[in-house]
Amino acid sequence: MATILVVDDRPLNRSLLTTLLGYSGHRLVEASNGTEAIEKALTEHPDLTITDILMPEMDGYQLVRKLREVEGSHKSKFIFYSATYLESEALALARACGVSHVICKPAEPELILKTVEEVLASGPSTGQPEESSPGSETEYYSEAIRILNDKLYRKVEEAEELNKTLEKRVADRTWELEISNHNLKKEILERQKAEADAVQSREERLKVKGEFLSHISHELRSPLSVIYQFTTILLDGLGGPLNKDQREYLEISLRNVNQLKLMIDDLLEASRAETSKLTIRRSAVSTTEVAAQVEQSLSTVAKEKGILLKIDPIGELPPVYADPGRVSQVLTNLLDNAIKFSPPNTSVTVRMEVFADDPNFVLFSVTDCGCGIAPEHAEHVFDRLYQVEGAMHASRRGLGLGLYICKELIGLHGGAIWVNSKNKGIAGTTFHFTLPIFTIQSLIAPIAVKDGRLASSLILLTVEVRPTTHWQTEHDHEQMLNKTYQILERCMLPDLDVLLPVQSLPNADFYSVIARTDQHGSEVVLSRLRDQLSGNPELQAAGVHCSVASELLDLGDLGNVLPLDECVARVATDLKERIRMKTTKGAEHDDGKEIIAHRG
Amino acid sequence: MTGKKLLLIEDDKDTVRAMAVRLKSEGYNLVVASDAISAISTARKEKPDLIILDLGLPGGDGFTVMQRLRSNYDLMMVPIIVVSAKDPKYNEPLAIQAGAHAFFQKPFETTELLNSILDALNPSVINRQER
Repeated sequence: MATILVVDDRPLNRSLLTTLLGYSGHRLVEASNGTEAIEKALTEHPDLTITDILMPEMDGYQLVRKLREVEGSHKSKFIFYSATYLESEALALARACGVSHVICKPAEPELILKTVEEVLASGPSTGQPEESSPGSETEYYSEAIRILNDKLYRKVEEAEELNKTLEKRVADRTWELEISNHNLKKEILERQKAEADAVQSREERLKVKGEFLSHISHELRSPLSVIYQFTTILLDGLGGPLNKDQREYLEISLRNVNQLKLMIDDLLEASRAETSKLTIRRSAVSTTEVAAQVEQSLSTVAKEKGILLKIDPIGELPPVYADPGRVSQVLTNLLDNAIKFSPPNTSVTVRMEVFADDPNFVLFSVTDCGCGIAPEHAEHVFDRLYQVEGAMHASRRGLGLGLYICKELIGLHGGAIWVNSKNKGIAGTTFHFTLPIFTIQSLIAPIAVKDGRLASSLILLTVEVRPTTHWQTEHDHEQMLNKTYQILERCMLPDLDVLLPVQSLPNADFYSVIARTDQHGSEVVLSRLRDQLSGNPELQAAGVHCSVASELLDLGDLGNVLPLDECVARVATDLKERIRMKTTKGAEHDDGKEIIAHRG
Repeated sequence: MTGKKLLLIEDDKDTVRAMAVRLKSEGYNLVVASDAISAISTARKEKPDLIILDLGLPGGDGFTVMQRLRSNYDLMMVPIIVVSAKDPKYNEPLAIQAGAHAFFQKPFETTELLNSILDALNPSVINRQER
């Protein structure tokens, strides 16, 4: 029977082994740690030591080595009793310290007994070296390092594995995020499309409405025309003599026909404004000239009501950059209203001055002596279809479009329109509007900056006109026409950016402009500013170089019989036609004379 | 202008009636065609001194009529005045380009139309008188 030392830090493990081996009749000694085991070994001299590997303070390997040192001649045999997960490592390390038997926990009792018997029977229990020679300390450490290396490798592998798992999870999550991102984007796009569709359908509705309004306003014209014609036929006595009352009734009828005609015009204009089809053709416009024309056209209406129209320009007024027809339309509308709402025998004033708040604009003020507009209405008078409730002249109410159209037109010019009114006061109402003053910059800007980019150069063509005062012959006309053709042919070449007709025209027709054909979408610029333009420091600073085309055309001794702009506009249309015919038929009409005949 | 023959191409009977009263009172002889087909044959037969043309006609639009009048040797020099309810913004340049003497949108000023007729029938006289 042998003495067996059982070393384990856990009492349960020790009692398992002592109980089991006790049955086999062995004497059993227990130790709960390395130090205690060494003490017991020195006193009890066990034949066999069964030791755990993982223990606090001193592990199984250290214990074996220590025991080998201290035991001297008495050599105990060893069995490692170790946890399964350490199996391969334990075997290798056990061999490195000369122990060949390792039992893995949990082990079958039979295996334990069998191993114990095997080891005990394997050789003399005293003084004989172990069946496997114990390795040197170096061997043990190199083995330990190898194992630790292996362990490290495994950990690295595990880390890599974990890394891969993590990467996969990140990839999975990223994919999920991408999908939801994609869905979000899709949703955003869908919403944008829905919004665009809404805008489009609104535009389509407006278009359909515009077409509808355009259609009815034209359809209304024919019957209106018949009413107008028969009314004038009767008024002109073509249906027989009229008595005083009959004449008066027909005049009322005629006035209302005219009113209806204006309403139809407004209807069409308003629908154009809504579909952004209102157009303006701007040039330099003399404010006093336009005001004078409007005054002229409204003088009869004003006189009938005993209203004095006063045009009041303050100081030297520069030209405005505007569509003369549209300026006249706005002024007519405001003056017409002013006359309508003024009591008889009062006055209506059109004041024009450089706008004190912004000297880049001319301020127009139309003042009447009417009943005024209440403040709560004042802010709405420019709204479409807005009408002042219970207005005195309810029977003469329009469609509520006139001021709306005015606002749109002034807005297109970059100006503003507003109203000042003293509620029910004597002072009446003042409508103000502003129009930009004509400047070289306002003209050059759209040319110099095209498609958002600054042009690197501008080419100018100036046209010199030298007037004469002597009697014009047919020959002079012909000559002028030919010259004008030459100029226009030159103007139609696409290399020009700016065309500068020259101001030295008679009849103070200072701002007459040669109508450069539309086909290149270029602007026509006034003349006296040529020098300013070519030496314009702002343009130069911006890197735009203006050069004056070398082939200055000379109109020579041309007359002042025709206003140049009218002539040229005519010729321009005509020239286009000639060129078209030249290219299509190769035929050419001598229609020059016809033009002169028509213009007179 | 007495005795000059005008051809009115117009499908609206009331308009025809009004124009007839007005133009006859001015001393013109008036013949009428009320559709695009008869317009050409009437013009050929009657050889008018001037044609007043509506653009919206049964049997073909006014521009087609104008083209056919202009391509007829006997009629190509006859002045045409267009009178229409259509938008002058597009139609006036088209009409002028097609060779019309003038374009009037309905309702038009009677005196303006009468002056234009005078002008077309005898331009030189009118110009000297006016200027």
